[in-house]
Amino acid sequence: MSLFSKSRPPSRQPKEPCLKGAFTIDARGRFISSTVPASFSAALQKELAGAVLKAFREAQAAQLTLTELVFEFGGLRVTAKEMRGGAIVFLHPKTPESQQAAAEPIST
Amino acid sequence: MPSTHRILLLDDDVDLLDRYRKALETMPTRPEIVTCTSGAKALALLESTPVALMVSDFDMPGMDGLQVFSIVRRRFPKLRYVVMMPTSDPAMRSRAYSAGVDLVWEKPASDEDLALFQSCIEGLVDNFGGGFRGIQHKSLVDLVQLECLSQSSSVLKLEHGTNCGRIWINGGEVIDAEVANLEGEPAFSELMRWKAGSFEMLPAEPDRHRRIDVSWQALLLDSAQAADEQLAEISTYDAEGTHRVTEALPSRLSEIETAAGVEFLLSGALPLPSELRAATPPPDAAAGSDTAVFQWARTTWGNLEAVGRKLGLGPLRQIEGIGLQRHVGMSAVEQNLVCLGLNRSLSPAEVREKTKQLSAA
Repeated sequence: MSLFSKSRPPSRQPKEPCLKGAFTIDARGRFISSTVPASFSAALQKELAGAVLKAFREAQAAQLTLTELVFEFGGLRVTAKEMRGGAIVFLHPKTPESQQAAAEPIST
Repeated sequence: MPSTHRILLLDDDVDLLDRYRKALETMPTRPEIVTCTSGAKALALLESTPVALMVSDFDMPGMDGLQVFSIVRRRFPKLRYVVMMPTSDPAMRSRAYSAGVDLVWEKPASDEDLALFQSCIEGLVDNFGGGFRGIQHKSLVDLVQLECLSQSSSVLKLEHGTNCGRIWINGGEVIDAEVANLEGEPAFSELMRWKAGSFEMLPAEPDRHRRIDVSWQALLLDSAQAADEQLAEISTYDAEGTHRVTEALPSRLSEIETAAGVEFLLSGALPLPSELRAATPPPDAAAGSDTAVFQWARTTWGNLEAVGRKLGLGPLRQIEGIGLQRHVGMSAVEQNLVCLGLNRSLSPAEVREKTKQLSAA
C-alpha cells in the first residue's frame, strides 16, 4: 500500500545532501583533493577545514600533539588525520546501518 | 465543530493531502479535516481557525515541517503537532522530539501501519482534554511527588540509556522499586540519581508485594541527602578558563576520573559564542598546563559546535583526540564541558568508549 508515499521525481527526495567522502587540505588550508559531493558547498567545506586545522594548531600550542581528531555530530562523524600541518578529513554520515556496523566487533 | 475535533493537514502534495483526508475522516471521532499546501497558508489559517492537531509533512519546499513547527509552538502552544517523515532516520526523529514535536511518524507503507497511525492520531485528538507536555524539564523527584500528592496508583517505568527501572506507587505511597539487581529502597535511591531519561506510566499493580515501608517524603529526603553526599570535588575552570576553582560535580565523574587509563579530568562552563574570538590561551596559561589544555578544549568545542550548527550536522556530541603523549576526550555534561586526559596506551576505540561514558554521567 502506498497511501502516504509521494510520487515525486527522484531529484526531490534527498533534500539534504548526503555528506560523505573525504578531502585533503594543506597547512595553508588550500584544498588538494576532495571526493565530497558538489552539493556540499566549497565555502562550507572550507569552514569545516578551517576549524579542523585550527583545532590541530591550537592543540600543538598547548603542547598537546594530536595526530587524529574525531568530531561526533548528531548526523555526521568527522575524522581528521594530521598530515604535516595539513589534514585529511573523512566525513561519515550517521545512518542506522553505519551505527549498527560501528557497534559490531571487528574481527581480526 | 469544536476545535478539539479539527485536524489540519499540511503537505505540498495535493494528491497526498486528499488521501490523508480520506484516511483520517474515517476515524471514530469523525474529525473535521482542513488542509493546506504550504507552511505560510497553514499559519494564516491557524490565526482564524482553532485546530486541535496538526499533521505536517517534513519534506516541503520553503519552510519544512520543523520550521513550521517552531512558529506554531510559539504562537499556538496548545496545538499538538505530528511530523510525517519519509524515512525512520533516528537523528531526524531525535531532532524533532528535542524540538518538542508530539509525534514523529514514518509515512505508513501498509494497512497495518495505517491502522496504527489512525489509532495514534485518534488517541491524540481524544486526549486533548489535558495533561502536560515538556515533562523532560521535570526531574524524577517532581514525577514521584506528583503521583504521590495526587494519591495515584501506577507503575513508573524509567529508562536511562540502556538501564531500565520501575517504581511502584499504590494509593499515593511508594511501595517498591527495582533496577538492575537492586530492589526496594536501594533501588529507589539508585533511580533518583538518574538526571535524565524517559518514563512511561504503566497501569497500577495493586497486588505488588510491598518492600518499601517508609513514607515517600522520607524517601525523597534521603535521596536528596545522598545526592549531596555523592558530590565530589573536581578541578574546574571559570568561564574564561583562566582561574582554577573548585566546584562540585556529580560523583560519577569522579568515578570516571579514577578509572584505569584516565590521567586527568578537567571541567568548566561550556563556551559562549561571544567567547570564540578569544582563541589564544590566557596569559597565565603555561603551554602544556591543565589551563592551556582546557582552554584549547573549550575553544575547539565552541568552534566545532558553531560549524556544526552552520552546516546542519546536528548537535556536537563528543570530540576525541588521539595524541603522541596522551589522548583526550571531551563531552558536554549538563552545562559543563568535561575534558578527559587519557593514557596513550589506550586504543582509539577505548578513547571513544571512555568519552561516551562522560555523556552518560
